[in-house]
Order: sequence, then C-alpha cells, then structure tokens
Amino acid sequence: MSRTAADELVEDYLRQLADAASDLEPDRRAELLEGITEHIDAARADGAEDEVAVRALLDRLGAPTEIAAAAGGAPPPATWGGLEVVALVLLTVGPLVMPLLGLLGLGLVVRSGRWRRAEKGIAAVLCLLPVAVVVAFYVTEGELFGLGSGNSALFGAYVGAIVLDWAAALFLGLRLRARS
Amino acid sequence: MEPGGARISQLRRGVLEFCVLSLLGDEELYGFELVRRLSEVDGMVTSEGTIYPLLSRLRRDGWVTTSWVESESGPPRRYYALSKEGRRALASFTDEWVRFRDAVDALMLGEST
Repeated sequence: MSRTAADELVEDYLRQLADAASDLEPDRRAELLEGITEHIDAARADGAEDEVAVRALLDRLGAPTEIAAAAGGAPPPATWGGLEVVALVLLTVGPLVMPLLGLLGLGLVVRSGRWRRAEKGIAAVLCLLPVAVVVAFYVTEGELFGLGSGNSALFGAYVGAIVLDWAAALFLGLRLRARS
Repeated sequence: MEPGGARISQLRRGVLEFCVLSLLGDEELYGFELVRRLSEVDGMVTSEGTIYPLLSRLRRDGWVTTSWVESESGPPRRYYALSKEGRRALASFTDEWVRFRDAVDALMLGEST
C-alpha cells in the first residue's frame, strides 16, 4: 500500500512531536507519543481519511510543541544540586590534578538531570576534543612518549584539555545560572 | 484575546482535569472518545493533544487507571478509568465547586447594591 499525502502529514506531525518531546524522560515521552498516535489512528479509522480531514484533525490536536510542553510537567529544578557542583569542580580543578579527571566531571554532567541534552552535548564535545586529538596523534604517529613532536603535542593537548574543560564548566555554569 | 478571555482560560484549565474525571466517572473511555466528548462542550478544549499529558498526569497521581483492551477493528486501545482515589477527589471537588459556583452566582447575578 503506498503512502498517501495524509500518511505523510501524520508522519511529519509525529516526527515533530517526537522532536519537541526529546527533553522528556523516556517513559513519559513514549507514553505521549503512543497516546497521540492512538488518537490519530482512531480518528482516521473513524472517518478522517483524506488529506483535508487529516489536516483538520492535526489542527485540532494542536501544535506539537504545545503538547510536549504540557507533558513537561514540572521541569527538574533548575537550581544547583550537589551533583552539579561536584561535576563543575571536577571540570575546573580535575584536569589540573590529573589529565582525565575532567572526564569524570563530564560523566557527572551527563548523569545530571539539570542540563538539557544539547548543553550536555556541547560540553561533551569540548571535553572530548583534546582526547580525540591525542588518540588521533597516537594512531598516526604510533607513539605518545617519544622525543620532540610527541611530547609537545601531548603537552599541547593537556593544556588544551584544561582550557576546554574550563570553557565547558563556564558554559554549563552560566546555563544553569540563567535558569535558576 | 480580550482581557476576559485570558481569565476564563485560566479557570478552564483549573477545572479541566475534573471534567475529565467526571466523564470517566460515568464509564471507562478510550482517549479518542474522551477527547471527543470534551470537545462537545463548547470552548472546553483548545488543543486536543494536551488532554493526553493531562491523562498521564492523572494516572501518575493515582486518580486514573488504564488498561489495554483488544479491539476488533485494529490495534488494542488504552482505556482510562477512575480509580478509588480519583472518585474521592472528584466528589470532594464537586462539593467545593457547587459551593463556589453558587457563591459566585449569588454575587454576580444576585442582588447587587
């Protein structure tokens, strides 16, 4: 059976809804998508078959962003928790103590419920970039601790890691402060 | 939106969940049916999709229970029903509402000096 224009409208709508709901906890998100999908299926089975009817149906359902917002309920408290403080301390002080401590901080950031997925993503990129550089260097040069270029590259990556970890910590801290 | 519109919107939002509970108090309904009945009341629902998050919240709060029922004409449907706590909550709200409604009516439509 080929996909009709109505099918496409529905798929597009559900895709937008899934997007808008991406911030929700997985089970709430699944429940929401399931409920709306069931509603649409029931409406279509009940007679909303052509494109015009389906468009009207989706209009009455409302904007996906509005529905997802209604499902957001009380967003997690946008205040500082113990986890968040430790995470940011690890990000700032960690790399000064030991090269990979900053990554531990990043791990805590990812665990925290107080930052959005996009924010965690940006922090992850910042923190993992120097790691990626070191790995790439090792893969291409075959050694890390040799003389000359190996050492300065490693040192550069280490300094870069400190700077980028601080940038990530600053970014995350400002975002959380903006929401408190 | 006229000034009165926003206020009425607020009121509506406040009572919407109890209207849902009230409909479920009469019989178990599946989502589409429930939304349709709510829509029959003029102006009750602006965005039909937002009823589903509301139902989820009622379920999490323990006022509504859900069950899956096989349907001959397609995939199983989720039916919503009132729980015992939900019934109690509805009864207590109804009491308050009747008193509130009568009081406001008396003020607004009764003797005004």
